[in-house]
Amino acid sequence: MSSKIKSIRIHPGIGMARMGDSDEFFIGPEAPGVVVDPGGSNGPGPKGGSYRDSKSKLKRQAQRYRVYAYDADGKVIGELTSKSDLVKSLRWRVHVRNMKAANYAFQGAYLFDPTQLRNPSIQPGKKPIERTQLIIDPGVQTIASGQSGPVVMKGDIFTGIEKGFLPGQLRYEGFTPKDISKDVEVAYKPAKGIELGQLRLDEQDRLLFIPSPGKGACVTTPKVALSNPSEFVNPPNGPENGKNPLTNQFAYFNVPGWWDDTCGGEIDVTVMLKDGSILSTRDNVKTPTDEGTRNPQAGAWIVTAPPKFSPYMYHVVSITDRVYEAFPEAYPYAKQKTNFYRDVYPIFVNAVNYGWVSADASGITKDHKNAAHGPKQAGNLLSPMYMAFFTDPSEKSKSMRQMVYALMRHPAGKNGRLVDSLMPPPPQKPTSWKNDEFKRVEQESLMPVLWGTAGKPKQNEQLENHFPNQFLALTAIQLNHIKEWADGNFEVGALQRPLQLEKLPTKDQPRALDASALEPTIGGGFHPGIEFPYLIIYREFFAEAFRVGKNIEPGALAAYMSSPWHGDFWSCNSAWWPTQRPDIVFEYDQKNKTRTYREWFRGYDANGEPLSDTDGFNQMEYAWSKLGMVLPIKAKDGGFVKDNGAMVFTEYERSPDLNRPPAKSK
Amino acid sequence: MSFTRREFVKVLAATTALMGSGFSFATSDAIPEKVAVEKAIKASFGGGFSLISYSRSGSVTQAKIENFGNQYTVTSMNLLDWKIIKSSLSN
Repeated sequence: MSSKIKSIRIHPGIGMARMGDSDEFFIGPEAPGVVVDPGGSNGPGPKGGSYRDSKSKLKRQAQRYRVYAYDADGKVIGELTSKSDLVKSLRWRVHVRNMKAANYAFQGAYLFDPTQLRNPSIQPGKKPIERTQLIIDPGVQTIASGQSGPVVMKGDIFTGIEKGFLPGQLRYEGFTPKDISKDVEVAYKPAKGIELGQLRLDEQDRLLFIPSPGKGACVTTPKVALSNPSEFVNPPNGPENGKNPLTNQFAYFNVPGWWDDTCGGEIDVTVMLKDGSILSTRDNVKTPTDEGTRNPQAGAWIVTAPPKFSPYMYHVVSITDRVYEAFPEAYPYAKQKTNFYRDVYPIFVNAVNYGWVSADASGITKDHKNAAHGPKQAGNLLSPMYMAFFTDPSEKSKSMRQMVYALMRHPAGKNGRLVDSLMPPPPQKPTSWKNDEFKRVEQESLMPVLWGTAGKPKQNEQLENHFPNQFLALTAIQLNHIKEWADGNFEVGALQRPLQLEKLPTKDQPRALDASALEPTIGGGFHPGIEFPYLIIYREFFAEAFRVGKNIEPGALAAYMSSPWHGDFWSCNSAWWPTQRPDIVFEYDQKNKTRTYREWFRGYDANGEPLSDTDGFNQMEYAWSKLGMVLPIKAKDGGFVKDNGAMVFTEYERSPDLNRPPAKSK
Repeated sequence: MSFTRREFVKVLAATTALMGSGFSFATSDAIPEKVAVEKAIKASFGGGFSLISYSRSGSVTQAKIENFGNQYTVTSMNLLDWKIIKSSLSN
């Protein structure tokens, strides 16, 4: 059989691991639609597991990588593990980095400017990859069959820097500049031994990538507090006419002196067979320890990200959708007739679920009162009345279907692709958005009412930015399915129960792994993103669908995310990505079918102050791991409680630490 | 909220200097200071909630609060754990 194997590939091609402050972990999704149980007992997970450990710390979500063998025709032969008859051993090779502090400043995708760097006074004039004092790089790490214990990947940052000057308009802890127009001298102390993640093997020597504990800190004295100076100094865009990304409206994406422990990078494997032959995802590997060179079609990638606090909910546009937008030839249902339950219904489910985590979508705000996606509201697309129309392909229901399609927002431009308005790719300045084809008035009444890659319309109005795509739009593939359905060119299909990976045919497993790792993610608006930055939309950065391109350095893509992530995670508290970071949460009275809400980000901070909209940038670093999970309420029959066809969600496993001021609070 | 966090902290500091730290008043029948109730409401419901009015009856504090035009009547025995007893929401 070994002679049949012509190549091996790792799946998923792009993996996603989510941080937690517990030392315990669970393995993330491995099949589309399957919500994994976090393990343990007496919890709200799918099988009764708990998202927190016995000390109430949030468990980390690991990514498992598997190796599949392919024949000469590119057909899947099967998975290779240490339990396979052919396999002697496996040796995994991983290289991740955190390059955020060294990267270009984030100032919105449309305002990207390669002359603006984070920490601009340190190693100025160099490319991000050359700014080695600002890169956490544990180097290449390996773990092989027979190796026990985790391999912990650690690195240092802000090394060899003694002093520097930072803007006086920043907020400092325990220090208020006398004259904020003058720079402040700060001392730097290197941060050493920062853990970016751990490598372990499962019982069959598949790789487990366990992410970092989600730490972040400032290395300067005085310490820079996470804040947005432009809110207080020359609002709305800060001093220097908004030209300085350390103090303008994007300042909290680019906080100087700060690091976080997210990472991204490459995953490879070399498999030694019992007959002495060697298979590797890297080229030019002749012996088990050869370094070889990266083969992007065979090797994989890892991205680490904040937790997903509502694991049953999916965003209407995921990174998987963006992969298919960039590589439409890889979309598995391209030449198939639209199937309502496969192609349209999931979008409606996702939309209705926002009604449990978003203020606007739930209909509690004045503008959307009783006109949103709440169970008893006009936009509850899952109500039995609507579903009777939606599953009826006849002319009788056509006007209802057409009405839904007419409510959908399209991306700006003739091709209906977000990327077209953002060309050329970074590190070049995007200019295409200025073309006539992208000029239009953004309409708030269209769906979805979530902010887009150009950022909030109100903010753009203040700054007189006339960008396209200020609201999120579905991808052309998604919109085409809804159009076909609206026109009556569809089959109804049937509601499919998601299957575990092991239940899928071997030939379907690699694609299932690729898609499921990125299905529970945010595919826009990218400002810059929450798991994967907006670089995912550029075909140029990828070797093929789900495979990061050959010339991409470890850490280089993730570097475009907020630095640190905590301020952005707080700031995106309204209509960004409530399926990962809920805006509000509901209590539900099952007897009366009524609900009340509270804000998700609430409680007491480390100083005993309420978590608030005035200091949330800084408070998130303390609070994030203590916030609650949003999960469906289980029914006595083993299913989930529903209200007018919509699944009912409420908050679980919020750390009790948030409900009381800390004992030592000031 | 029309004042900054730093101002809020100053007001709270002044209040706690007069009353002592913590929520010791919560176990007495004395009516708590408005700033303490506001702080407790924001911690329990979120920073976007505002206090409209409040009263004390025995050991129970009752407050009327508002967010996005929606009103709750809420009660607490200790200013930490709050129960919603009336809501204007209809959805």
